[in-house]
Amino acid sequence: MKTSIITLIFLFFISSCGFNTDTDHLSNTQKPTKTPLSAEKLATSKEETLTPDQHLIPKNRAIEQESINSADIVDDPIKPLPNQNKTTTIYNAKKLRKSAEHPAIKPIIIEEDDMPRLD
Amino acid sequence: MSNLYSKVHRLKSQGWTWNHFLQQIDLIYAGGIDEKTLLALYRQPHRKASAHVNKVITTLHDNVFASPFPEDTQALLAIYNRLIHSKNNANVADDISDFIIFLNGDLQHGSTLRQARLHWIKADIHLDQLSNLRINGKKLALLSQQKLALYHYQQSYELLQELNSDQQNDRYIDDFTLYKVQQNMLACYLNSSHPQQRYQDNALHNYLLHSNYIKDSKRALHSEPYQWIIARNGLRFSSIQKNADNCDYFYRALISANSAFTDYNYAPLGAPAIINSEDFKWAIQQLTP
Repeated sequence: MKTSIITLIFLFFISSCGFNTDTDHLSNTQKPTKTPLSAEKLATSKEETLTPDQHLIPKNRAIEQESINSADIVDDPIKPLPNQNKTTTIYNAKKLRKSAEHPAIKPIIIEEDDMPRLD
Repeated sequence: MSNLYSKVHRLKSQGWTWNHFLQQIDLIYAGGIDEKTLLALYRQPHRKASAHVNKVITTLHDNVFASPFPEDTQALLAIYNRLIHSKNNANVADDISDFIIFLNGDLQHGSTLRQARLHWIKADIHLDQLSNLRINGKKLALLSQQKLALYHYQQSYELLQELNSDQQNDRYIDDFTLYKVQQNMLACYLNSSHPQQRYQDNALHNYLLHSNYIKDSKRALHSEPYQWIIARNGLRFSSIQKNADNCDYFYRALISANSAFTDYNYAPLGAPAIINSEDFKWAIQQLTP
């Protein structure tokens, strides 16, 4: 009797705390906040006002596009790791340095007021 | 003749009426070109024509004013020009290196006139590298290319003068052709020098002092007053030399070539407005009341 009362109290405590065992393993950012259904809905509602040209876009692409454009269904963006970010910056700087230098032989540059040749 | 404005003027200055001009164009291309387009090219140095119109007028010009040089050398120059202006050719450097090897071998053969033109083309290749090398700060390579360009232009100039002094030669090399070699030699000095240092560049000043460039520019403008490029370059070098009289002369020649140049902000096709160029700074100070 005593054991069953303790069990009941424990079960009541668990249910009152609102633990949901189904989604317990997911963090807040990983929770799905958009469903295919809502995206389909969006696509369907858009389809009603499509112009003839827009009909050329495959339906799946239209769904994808609409999902991306809808601000209300965008979650926190995945932030790059600090190291990744650093690597990208170095790469871009290298790329910029490389592009700043004109190739050894390439079209005649008359960027400043140089004198073009006469033939 | 490096622009359509000058080509159209040169053709028109033979006394052609516009109707005759259009008929001549029809003979090149049966579809002809629009009269308004032709008039716009005649009036506006900044006017850019389509590739088709460019080709039609250039063909007509070259038919009427045939080059004194052999056809095969002209074809070589055309190949090189297409090569250096190609935007999507990843092998330009290799192609030009091969082109130079061919030229080096070919320089030893053919007539004096042919050799003169091949030296000219070889000099062009070296001249075309100068701006790039200067911008990238490759001083040694810059000096080497400048030296080679000057050597080959000099060779070409001497061979052409030799032809003119030869009594048995029936083909006279006109003054404008000789002027063009001189201008290219001057370009070797100017393009090697940083725009901020051109007023103090001793080599450039030395060449201007000992060449007939200013005198020849005036002579070329006398026979072809629509050549705004010659007037503009005359004004540029008079400004660098800080010669007020010559600045006045060439500025008048420039606005005679086209009145649009009264506005210092006017930018013709292929050149910036003179107000934006360091080379004209001194001249503008003198000309502005």
